[in-house]
Amino acid sequence: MTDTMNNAATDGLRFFGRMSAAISHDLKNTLSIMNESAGLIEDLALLAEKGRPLEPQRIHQLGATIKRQIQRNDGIVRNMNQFAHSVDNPLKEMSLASSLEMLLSICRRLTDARGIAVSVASPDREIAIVTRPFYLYHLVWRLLEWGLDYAGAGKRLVLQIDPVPGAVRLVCRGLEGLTETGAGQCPPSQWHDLLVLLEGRIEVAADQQSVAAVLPQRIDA
Amino acid sequence: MTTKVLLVDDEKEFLDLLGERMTSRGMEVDTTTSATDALKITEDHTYDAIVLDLMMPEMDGIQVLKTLKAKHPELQVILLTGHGSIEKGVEAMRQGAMDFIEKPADLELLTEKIKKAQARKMILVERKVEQEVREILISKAW
Repeated sequence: MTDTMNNAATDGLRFFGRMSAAISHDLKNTLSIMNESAGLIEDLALLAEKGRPLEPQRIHQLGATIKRQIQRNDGIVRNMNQFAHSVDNPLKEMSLASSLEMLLSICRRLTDARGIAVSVASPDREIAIVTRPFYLYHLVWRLLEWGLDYAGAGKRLVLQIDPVPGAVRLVCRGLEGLTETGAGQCPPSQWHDLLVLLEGRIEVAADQQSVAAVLPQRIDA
Repeated sequence: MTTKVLLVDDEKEFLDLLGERMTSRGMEVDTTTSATDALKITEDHTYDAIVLDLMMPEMDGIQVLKTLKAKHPELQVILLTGHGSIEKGVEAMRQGAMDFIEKPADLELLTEKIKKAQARKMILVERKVEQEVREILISKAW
């Protein structure tokens, strides 16, 4: 188990770094918009000093832009905080829908860069599991990253939360480009340690264009 | 002579704001949020500089840069990067970018780089014209 944990920790650091870089990109973008808004206010003030009438409506618009970006920034930082705290507890009860939404929001830039839209589909009722939070995020990212290669022409993946007795299936659907050969190579060896730590297994079905991680409802300490 | 600039970034608000500020400084600015559109636009329009975001949906900024430079070697591309490190910027320079600037960008610094891009492009175009004239003179050999 120690080797498994060491491998997962090393690999996990890479994942953590990649997500942190994606978050920093998003922050840089909001900062850029605020920077240009502030710059434009300065420009308008300089023009007003030279006699051009200042349009209050324009200032209101720029104020609204800055507020919107502050809210966006706040959401990014809140996600970053939740993600960072996922390493605090070895085991924790997690609400799956909100946790997956949070992860998708963090890695949106990476999935967008591939031109693929990803969404979460969950049942109406709350589905929670007791698991290892950070490793769960890592496995979901692995699933998604693998799925991006098989998204096909549809360019749309759905992460579906599917409760079954005593377990939950996290199904990545929309793998239009998935072949039997591709399915045969899943799960890749790099997923092994994560699956051991999460006491899970992978089910891949090329005919259903899906791959699923089956995870227990509760991991005991 | 008016400086013509194409801004390419997937953040529409950023493009609108930066475009407005650059226009008020006397530049002629076109904008697009799509890397694919940027490639199409450059088929029909010429620019003194293209300011390109490194991380775009559909296509990586480096890939866009490579495609642009392959088709129009004289194009001057300045990359905007959200990366905290200079690694990507160095890679961009290696791929033919004229320069790179980190987000959030300082407009005065960006303007300075755009002016340099314009001057460099003029030299390249003049050389190209000279070369073409020389080739005509040699081939005709009156």
